[in-house]
Amino acid sequence: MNKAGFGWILVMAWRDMRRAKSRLGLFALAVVSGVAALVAINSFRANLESEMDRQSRSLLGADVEYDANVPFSPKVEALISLVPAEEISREVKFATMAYFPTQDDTRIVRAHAMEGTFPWYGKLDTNPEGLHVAGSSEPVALLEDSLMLQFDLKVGDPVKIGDLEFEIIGEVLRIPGEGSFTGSFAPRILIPMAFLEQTGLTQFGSRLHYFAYQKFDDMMAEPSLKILEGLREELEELEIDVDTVADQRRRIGRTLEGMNSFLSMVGFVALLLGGVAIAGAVQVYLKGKTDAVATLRCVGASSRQAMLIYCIQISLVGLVGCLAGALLGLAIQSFLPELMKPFLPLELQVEISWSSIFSSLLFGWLFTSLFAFLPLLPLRKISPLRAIRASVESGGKAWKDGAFLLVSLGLLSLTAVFTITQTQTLGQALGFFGGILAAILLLAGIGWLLRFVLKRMSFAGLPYVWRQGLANLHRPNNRTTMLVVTLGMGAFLIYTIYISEQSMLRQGELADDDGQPNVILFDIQPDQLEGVQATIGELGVDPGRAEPIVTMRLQSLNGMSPEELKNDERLEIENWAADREYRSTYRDFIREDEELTAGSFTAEATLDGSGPIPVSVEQRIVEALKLKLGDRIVWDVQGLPIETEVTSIRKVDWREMKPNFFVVFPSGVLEAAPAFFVTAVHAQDREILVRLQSNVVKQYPNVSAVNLTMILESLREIFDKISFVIRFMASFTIVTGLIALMASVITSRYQRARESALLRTIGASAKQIRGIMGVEYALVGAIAGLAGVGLSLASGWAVTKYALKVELYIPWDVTVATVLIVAGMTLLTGMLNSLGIAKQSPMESIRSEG
Amino acid sequence: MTESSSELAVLRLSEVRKAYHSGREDLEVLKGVSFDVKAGETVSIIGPSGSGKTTLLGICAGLDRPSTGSVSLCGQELSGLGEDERAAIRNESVGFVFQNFQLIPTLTALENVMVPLELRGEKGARERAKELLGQVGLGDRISHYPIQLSGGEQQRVALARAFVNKPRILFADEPTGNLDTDTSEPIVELLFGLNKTAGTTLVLVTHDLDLAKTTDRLLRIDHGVLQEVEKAGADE
Repeated sequence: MNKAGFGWILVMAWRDMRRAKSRLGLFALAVVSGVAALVAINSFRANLESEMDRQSRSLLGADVEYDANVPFSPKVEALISLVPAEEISREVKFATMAYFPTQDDTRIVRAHAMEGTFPWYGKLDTNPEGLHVAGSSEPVALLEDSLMLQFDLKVGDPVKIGDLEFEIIGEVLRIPGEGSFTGSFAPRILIPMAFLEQTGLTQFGSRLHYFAYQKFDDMMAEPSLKILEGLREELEELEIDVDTVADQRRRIGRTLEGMNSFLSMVGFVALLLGGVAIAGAVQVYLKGKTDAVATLRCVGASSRQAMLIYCIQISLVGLVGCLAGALLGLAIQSFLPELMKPFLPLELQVEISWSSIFSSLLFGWLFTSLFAFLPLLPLRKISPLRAIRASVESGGKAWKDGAFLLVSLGLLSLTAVFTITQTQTLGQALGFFGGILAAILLLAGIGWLLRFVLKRMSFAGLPYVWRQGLANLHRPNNRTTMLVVTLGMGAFLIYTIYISEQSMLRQGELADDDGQPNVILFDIQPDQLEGVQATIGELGVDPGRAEPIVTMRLQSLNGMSPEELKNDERLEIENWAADREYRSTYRDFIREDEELTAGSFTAEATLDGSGPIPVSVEQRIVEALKLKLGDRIVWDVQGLPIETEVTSIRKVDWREMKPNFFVVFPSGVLEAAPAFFVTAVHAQDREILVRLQSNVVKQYPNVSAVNLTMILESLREIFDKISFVIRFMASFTIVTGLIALMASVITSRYQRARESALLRTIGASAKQIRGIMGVEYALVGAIAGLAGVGLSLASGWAVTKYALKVELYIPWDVTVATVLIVAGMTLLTGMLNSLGIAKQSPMESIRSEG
Repeated sequence: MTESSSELAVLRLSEVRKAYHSGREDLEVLKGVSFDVKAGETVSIIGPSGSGKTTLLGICAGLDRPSTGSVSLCGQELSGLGEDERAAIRNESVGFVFQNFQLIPTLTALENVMVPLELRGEKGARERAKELLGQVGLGDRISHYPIQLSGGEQQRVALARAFVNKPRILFADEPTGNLDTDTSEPIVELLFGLNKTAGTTLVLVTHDLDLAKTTDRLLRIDHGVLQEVEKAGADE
């Protein structure tokens, strides 16, 4: 062994790097995006955690919250009063129509009728500051800022809720524990509880949600909580939900954690692709170092020393990239709270979390270094004999090399550890890891297949430029597979989000079609039905057929209670279907837009005890409860058990904005049950639509007349907010892909310049050389785009079917455009980085590349 | 061979055979080659293309291993040594001059020359390298990168690097093979001049018979068989 120490290796690494700084800098860029995403998300997450711990009580605004769908019974009140508390406040929340006389317009809102001094922790953020409605002896209201803006309202304007007009005294900006996102669908209006009765909205048929809040004495908080825990079960049996600060913290934590996990996994994908990109670039870079290594070995350097020189270089490059990524991540983190504001239940101050930065940095560096070491390992096997005989190859298959397997194992372990720490469950971790791995393997497979096919196909009939461009995709040192993977992955992530969003929005889009209902009126009481229909008819609008709605719950299915159904894992029923309140209807026919898929529909029946009532169930509930014809269901119809039998199965188009029902009873059974009506009508234009809404709401304040177009717009806004965040993160993978492309183009520049020089020597024009490169880049971009978009169609199908439960909608024009955009971006990046190669004179090229 | 001559031998090959597997057949490139080179001797190995010259050089210098037979370099038997141990012997006692110069493109002329000394961990590498570059006439071009030097200049840098660690034996593989006649002459003069000054043993592989005749001994290799030839009869 020679006597040169580590110092000499460092010096050699530095000497060798001097002239390749820009090229190595580009490798560093490949990891910037991924590390930036990780640092930003992990710092943000740490920020959020510490803020939630600091403000944990303000997440609820109280020490405990009780809520129910019915007014608290004396027994419930008695139980609550057993919990020692300093103060108690009450609130009733409900969806209703608000009418704005100054604009003669209406909108569905969520009213909060408040009483008492809640919230005690955190701040009810208002403008002007410090406003409260709870104790007011006047009918005043605080409106969510978005509502004020939408209807151009100002302080002092009236707003009518039900029968009563309230005076707007200001805006509500934030309610403890709720993000502004909560109000996206139905903006919030705060009114004093004292005036709730006068709105006339507490009558039967209105869906009110009752809340009580308690504040414990600071000294008594522990014993109070203990007593509460003792009563919890009893309260829950009485259908009262009990939430403490710890429950709320857990719930919000879970939601945000889920969101953060998803985002950091997207960041991780960017890092992973950066790793793949850097490994590819390093491989080409090191190919140029083979002779230098052979020479070093000849003059006495050991294989370890020779490898360490490049090991240090690559680690340094990775470190520089990771540091740059961390800085960028810090910059991004500072505006993440703004980006995520709608989803956050608390005000977030940006703080630097050194531990998050350090751990993300270390992870990113280790991960990318390991990736880069893969192509580095074969350097150990370069024979010094290469110095005298260029044809000597370094022997052995990479996968037979123990060190190669060790590094690969290290990479896999790091990925597994990261995935498990980022996701909540092992199942999720495996799902994500498996999914990403499958996507990468599929994309890599497509890249490999492309090369395989091109290599074996004959393009004799094509012009020279095309033949040469196509050949470039499979010749040695090509980066085809790597580009298909990186660019394809970006396209895959972004387009999956896009089509999921479009499919969801498509649900309501039919409401825009001619003749389709665009206003839905619900909560019509039986005695109001005639009047409401007359009001609609006065505007020349067809009032249509109102459908009665009877609320009921599932009491048993084939003798099993909802609890038993949920607990029996063999049944695999979906819990929501066992617990929900069913809004069923009755009629003696099947609508034209409903399709009978099994059994026969019974039009009439009577409750004479002669047997179960034949009912028709909808396909979706059939899947959720695993129903079949002949199943017996006992419904609890507001206290009265009614036994039914599934005799038909219907399929309805849920995209149709009509009142659709899971369960349809025959006529003659539910007529006597308390019911309200719903109807969907089509207003010919916006003016009629607004008049219809305001006329109905003015005369029948309890009736909600919802503008479906507006709902659709709200839905779109909600999606825009979510998808912006996701697109923002997914764009990191696209950026990584483009950097990978730049790195590969620049790394293979030498080879290209030589070839171009040869081609120029034998008479090729600059135009032809540009053409060859253009064909190559455009094709690799198009294939990456096609593969990524193709995969996203498959994952979009899975997301829409299993997660969103909507039908997949594929906008083909946008799909084609996406592929073209990916191809175009690749072409542009490739051509910009190849500038000059085509124009270079043969002599210049040969001389400069030596 | 006498005991004393064996002690003086810097390089000794005994019954060296080298075979490559090519498909089902074994291709024997060296067929039982034996010879000694004494300290301070200059020896040329000549032969037609494909005769096994380069293979023999690689084995002599410890860059490659024979299939059978033994090689002793500077008193050390190479067959039992690992790659890194042989590298250490090269660093300690061997110098190389290659046909294609084999300078490291990312190092300056000075740094290229310094590498063997730095590997030894010796102090004063820079001064010694500068001195050598001065001797080969490149004292004013020490900061140039190989790409900025002509072929002849690159080979001078390679010569400086070969002699910088005062090797006991120098292997030169077609040192003028990539140079034109005008450039070749001064390089050959330099090579022999430096060799004489340093008293180094020289093993030269070449096509160039005139160059070969300037060495003390001439070995011809043909179809893997080595024969010592008289300089007078070398033209035949």
